Amino acid sequence: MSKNVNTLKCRDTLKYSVLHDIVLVVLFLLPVMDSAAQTNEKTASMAQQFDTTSILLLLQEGSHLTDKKPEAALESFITAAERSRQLNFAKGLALSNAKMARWYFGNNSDKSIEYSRQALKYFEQDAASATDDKAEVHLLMAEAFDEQGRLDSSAYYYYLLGSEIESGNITNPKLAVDLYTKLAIFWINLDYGSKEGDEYFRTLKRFVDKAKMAAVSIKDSADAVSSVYFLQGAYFHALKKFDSARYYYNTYLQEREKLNKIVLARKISTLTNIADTYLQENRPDDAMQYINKVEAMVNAPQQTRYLVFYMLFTNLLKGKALYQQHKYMPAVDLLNETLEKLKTTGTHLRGELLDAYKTLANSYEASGDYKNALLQNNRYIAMYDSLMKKDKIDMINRLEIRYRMVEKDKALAEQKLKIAAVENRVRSRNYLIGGISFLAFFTAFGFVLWRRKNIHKQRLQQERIDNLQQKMEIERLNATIDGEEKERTRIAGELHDGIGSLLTAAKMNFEMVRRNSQYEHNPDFIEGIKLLEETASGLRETAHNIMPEILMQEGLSDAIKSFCERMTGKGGTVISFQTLGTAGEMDTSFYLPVYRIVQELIHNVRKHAKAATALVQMNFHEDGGLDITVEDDGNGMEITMIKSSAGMGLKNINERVKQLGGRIDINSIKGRGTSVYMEFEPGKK
Amino acid sequence: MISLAITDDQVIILNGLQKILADVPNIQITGIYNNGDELLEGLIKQQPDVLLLDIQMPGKSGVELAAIITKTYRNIKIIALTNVDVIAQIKKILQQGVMGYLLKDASPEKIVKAIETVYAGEQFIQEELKQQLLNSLSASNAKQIVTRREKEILQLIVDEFTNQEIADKLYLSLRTVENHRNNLLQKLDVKNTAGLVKVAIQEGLV
Repeated sequence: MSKNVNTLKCRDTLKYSVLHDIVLVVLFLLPVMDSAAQTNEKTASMAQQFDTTSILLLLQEGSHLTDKKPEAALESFITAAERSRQLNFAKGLALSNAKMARWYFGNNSDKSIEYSRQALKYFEQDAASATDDKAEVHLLMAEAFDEQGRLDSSAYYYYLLGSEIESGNITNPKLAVDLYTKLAIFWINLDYGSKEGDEYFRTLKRFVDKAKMAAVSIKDSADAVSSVYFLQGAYFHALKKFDSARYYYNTYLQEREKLNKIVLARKISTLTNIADTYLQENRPDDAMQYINKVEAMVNAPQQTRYLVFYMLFTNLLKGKALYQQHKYMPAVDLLNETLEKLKTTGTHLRGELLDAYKTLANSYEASGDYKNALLQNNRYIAMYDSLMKKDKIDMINRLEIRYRMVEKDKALAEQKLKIAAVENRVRSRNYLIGGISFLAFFTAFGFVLWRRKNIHKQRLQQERIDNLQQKMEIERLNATIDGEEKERTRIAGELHDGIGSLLTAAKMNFEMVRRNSQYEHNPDFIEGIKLLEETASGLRETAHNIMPEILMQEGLSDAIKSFCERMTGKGGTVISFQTLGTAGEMDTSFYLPVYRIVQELIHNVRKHAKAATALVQMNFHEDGGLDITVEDDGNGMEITMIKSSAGMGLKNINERVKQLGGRIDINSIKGRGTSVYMEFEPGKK
Repeated sequence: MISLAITDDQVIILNGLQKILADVPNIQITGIYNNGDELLEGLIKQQPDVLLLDIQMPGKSGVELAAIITKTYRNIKIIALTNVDVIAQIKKILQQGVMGYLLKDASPEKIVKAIETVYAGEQFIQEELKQQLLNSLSASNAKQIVTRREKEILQLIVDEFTNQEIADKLYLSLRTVENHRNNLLQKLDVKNTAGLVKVAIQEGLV
């Protein structure tokens, strides 16, 4: 009648029994007690005792007790929550709420969801909480919402978990296997109704493969292989290959029991699933065997309470078996009783429940109670519509599609990661090369800078040395000039005043002799006197040339002017002199050498230029500077001559101008004459 | 009779002159002095008609003495007697009111002629010096000549080159070009480049 797989098959892991009212009371009371007895030292010391480690140990202990002593387990969880609250221990609160949520799953789905939400809230507060712990709560919520027929919420959590696993955020392979198993079953149950086709099975197959892949990471190989058997069973169950399904279910039970790794809830799920396969084959007697196995297993009162939900669903299967055995009235009684009891275990809306109403309706019909048959059938139809709302299914399909896209993205991302890794290797190599080049470049650059700095320093030093040498040279020269000029002055004075006067006196005497004797007309005597005269004149000239007195007395301008006039007076080149500006005070050490330079230039003109006219121009600048031009209209010189040894005189003059700190510009045109321009800045020597 | 005083720091010159002039009938030597101070002292007692004055003497220079004497004793005619044949010097001394200028190696006849000439109230300057003096005076009145280099630069200024461009072109320093330019401004008596260009064209310098 239906191809659905009993959802009981996915009830497993931890479950805990009620007592939750007590928990609430305690939880409410604690803060009241705290505030009422703030000074109560006893309370304070109690709080001190519950350190976080003891709370975690208590929770672990509770987990171990769950299947054997579910009530005691729940007690442990409540105590842990209470102590965590006192210590404000977020992780403790989160974990204890998670455990309680799991415990209540088998008892009351509403409470299970409530505790799950609490747990998630506390996980939010605890930054260090493990992703795996949170994932378990998400899984529980997915199951609980599925239980209540809130498929969209359930799907949301399932696919959230799927994405988390794909992203690699969940590392526990057991949890992954669990997730894929439950997701597959969710998917199977979702197909309630008339879904056929390849897509459905492909999706299912994918979950099986995923679970297998996840199981590979489980260290113990026996554990790894066996953990997937349940899912494989469910897979064949869905494919309606019931023999294969039963084979895997049975193997699963055997293997897990061998490993002692099966919880009571999962055992019940597996057994009821086997029963369901028989029922789907319309073999109620075989089914009943497995149902009896379950009933035999859950007989202790605390277990009946803890697993009340599982038992009720087993009863639904039993009702169906009874119906198939044509025991309609017992079937109706059992189903009515069970459905009534189910109202106390939270909200339920699932395939099995629909099936139960259908069976109930059919049983009523078979027993001739058409009124009730119609009533139950209507309920069945209403529930079916509610569960199978099209928009819900669409949404879940969208989630599935998105989930696959996430997977594809992940594959793409992995590919990209590989490419990026290669690129990174290349890039890091390039960086290395770049870095080395950079370093090399900067080393070279630094070296060049250093070298340049050194060279610059050397140059500066050389310049300083040169400057010093120049200065010394000038000083030495000045000293030499000074000495030379002093000597010249002395010699000139000697010639002029001493020898000159003697000569003059001698001549005067001879003049007297001539006048007073017969020698007056003696030509030899007269020639002698003439020679004396010429000697005196020559001496005066020489003395003047050696040291022009006028230079000392009248200054450079007049001295040069006088010299020009004197030279013109001698015939040959007519030398004009012109001056601009006013001469300021000048140092002897400056105007003597300048005078000598001009003197030499004029001598050169007279000796070599064959010039008709020459011009000497002196311009005194306002700032104390001076420029002198000596220009002739003679035959000029070749430029090479100016620079070659033939121009020794000029070269000499060049040197002397530079020694005085002046500049010289010699400009000569062959056949047109030479122009020598000099400028001095006496103040800036 | 012309009374004459002689001032010279060199005894041989004094002796020589005395010998030369001893025979000249119309000249009577009334005073012999060895330096400026002696001269000024002597002049207070006795003033000659003509004074032969050496320009280069220790102590007061000839120019100074000439200035004092011409001011104090207007009637004394001074003849500078010197070895210095520098025009500037001659001009300076003449400006002080000195009537004659003789070089010491002048012939006795010339010396006598000079004394007689200045005594007569005329100027006497030795022939060769006179020519130099004239040359000098004419030169100083001559128009300023523009040098070839300056013309070259003037041409470039007219062609609208800047100082820096001229400097680069002629391998000169900027300062040198500025100097030439300033000289041109002064010589042509203009204030700016526009004036330079105008005058340059007017005078056919470019």
